[in-house]
Amino acid sequence: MTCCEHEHERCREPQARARSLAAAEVLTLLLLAAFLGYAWITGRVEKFVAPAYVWMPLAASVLLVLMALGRLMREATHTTDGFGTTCRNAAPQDSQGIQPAPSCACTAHGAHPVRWLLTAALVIPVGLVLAVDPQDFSSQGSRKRRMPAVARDAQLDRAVDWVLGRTARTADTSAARDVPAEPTVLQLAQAADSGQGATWAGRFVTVIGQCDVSANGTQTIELYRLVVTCCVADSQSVGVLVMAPATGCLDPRQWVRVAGVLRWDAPAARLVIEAATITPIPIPAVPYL
Amino acid sequence: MSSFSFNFSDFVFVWWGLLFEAIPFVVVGSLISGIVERFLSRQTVARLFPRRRSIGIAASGCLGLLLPMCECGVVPVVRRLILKGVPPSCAVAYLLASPIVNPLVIASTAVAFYAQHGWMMVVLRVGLGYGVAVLVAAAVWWMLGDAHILRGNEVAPPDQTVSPRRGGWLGDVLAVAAGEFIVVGGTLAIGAAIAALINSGFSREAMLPLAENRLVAVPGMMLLAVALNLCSEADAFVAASFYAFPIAAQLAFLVMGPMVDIKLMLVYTAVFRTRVVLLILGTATLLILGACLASPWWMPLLFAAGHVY
Repeated sequence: MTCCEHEHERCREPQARARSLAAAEVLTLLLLAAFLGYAWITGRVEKFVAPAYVWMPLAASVLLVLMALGRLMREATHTTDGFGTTCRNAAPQDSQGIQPAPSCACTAHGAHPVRWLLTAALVIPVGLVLAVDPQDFSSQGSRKRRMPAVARDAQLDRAVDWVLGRTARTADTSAARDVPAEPTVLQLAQAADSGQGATWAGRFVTVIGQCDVSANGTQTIELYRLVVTCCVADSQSVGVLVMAPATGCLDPRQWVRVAGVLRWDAPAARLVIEAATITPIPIPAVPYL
Repeated sequence: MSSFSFNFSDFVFVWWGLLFEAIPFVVVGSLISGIVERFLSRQTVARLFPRRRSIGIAASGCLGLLLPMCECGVVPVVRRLILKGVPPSCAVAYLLASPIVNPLVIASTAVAFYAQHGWMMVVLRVGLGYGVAVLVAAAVWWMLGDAHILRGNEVAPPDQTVSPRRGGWLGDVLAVAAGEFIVVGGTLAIGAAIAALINSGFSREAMLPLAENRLVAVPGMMLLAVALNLCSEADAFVAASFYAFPIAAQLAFLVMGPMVDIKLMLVYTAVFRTRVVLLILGTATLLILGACLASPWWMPLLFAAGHVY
């Protein structure tokens, strides 16, 4: 099949550039798919996203492979005549049995630099994550994600009371919930926030978390967990203060199991664990709450 | 502790957290874009959309209830819909409303805020999100009409005719999706890098001094939403943790984030003309800011009505 010869020279260079870009894009899609699959197989994904979302990168990996194949097939439906001119395949015979001539436009328009930039933008993070291999936030990184408890929106409460003609708000008198033997750090924080903390005092509990040295002194550590809803970008650090025995925390960010008695710190409106034992443990299968 | 510090490992950790979460949605959005390209003709689009533009915009704002998409996945779909002849104003209404007016986000907001405010935060978020989306779309209609709003001179390709191409319709869908993914996914990767820089370096405690005054708290939380680049399915849980802040500021965070954040700004810039991006971002920001700063005049009435009924 030969296309119009005057198109040959005009089309040769842009076609070569377009082919390079197409090849790079297909390779990028395959690289990304391979990395997503690899991250899923090795369990790395679980460090980055909540358990409910772990399957999604694998599904994306499969779809990316299919998309790369689709792109390859589209490239294959264009044929060249050996002169660098890109020709569309001949259309089938029409109802009168006449076969239209193959189209002979130069369909390659080169490769826009932005497309190269966007392709590179997908490759660079793969290289970086393989080189750095982050597993967890640094101690300071976790501290930055902490949001201390403060009183709620009193201004709006007053405005609603004014509209409704109420003079005083009634306190929440709901009964204390049962205290679990192994509460999470989040449950302890929620109990304190909801005003139930005092009723939890005196219970012996076992709590798992990572430890962070408190600024208050060597005898206290902060036991914290990250709460992740979708991915680590939305993670929040929740913590509980632990009055530690003399051994204290062995290592910053170390996972530990703390066993001790809960105490209600009324001025700070928070629960504190007076630890009997602090035992180092391996990283749990699901590190996030 | 300083309010900002950089740690390379934390930065890469958050960057990939964002990418692991967003890439699957962009892949799905790209595939839907491919399906739209292959199967939805311009005639069908013209038939589906109401002739009265105001009704079209209002209906497009609710489209997320039927075709729920997060803010990352919706962009390639909207781009393809515009190429297929969907009026730009209707496409903008869907673009902005879909990440809020959708069942998954409604459910996550309800779960995050039920203990604090019952269903009221869901009503506020969906109501304000829908209102802002429709008003921004109306502004696009008023100022730009049906002008071409996509970047470059990209125009709608002729509708596909059946031809014996290798791979058939599936090959067509996948090939279009691949091209779409490179554009939107690549832009997302750049935006997510900037987002991760701020997200991993910024201390949440630094926001606390802003909580005292609503005039500062509202724009402060809007800026935080832009900087953190959270998915609309997860941001409610983060907003709920800022309970030191007035509800108006939390609401501003919940409506601003799904419409305007750093990665979205980049993605919008890659897809839409600069004038359109500025119009969308500017109008949305002003409307959210105005509504939330004016909350003392309307929010207590709404809460009181919630108590009464």
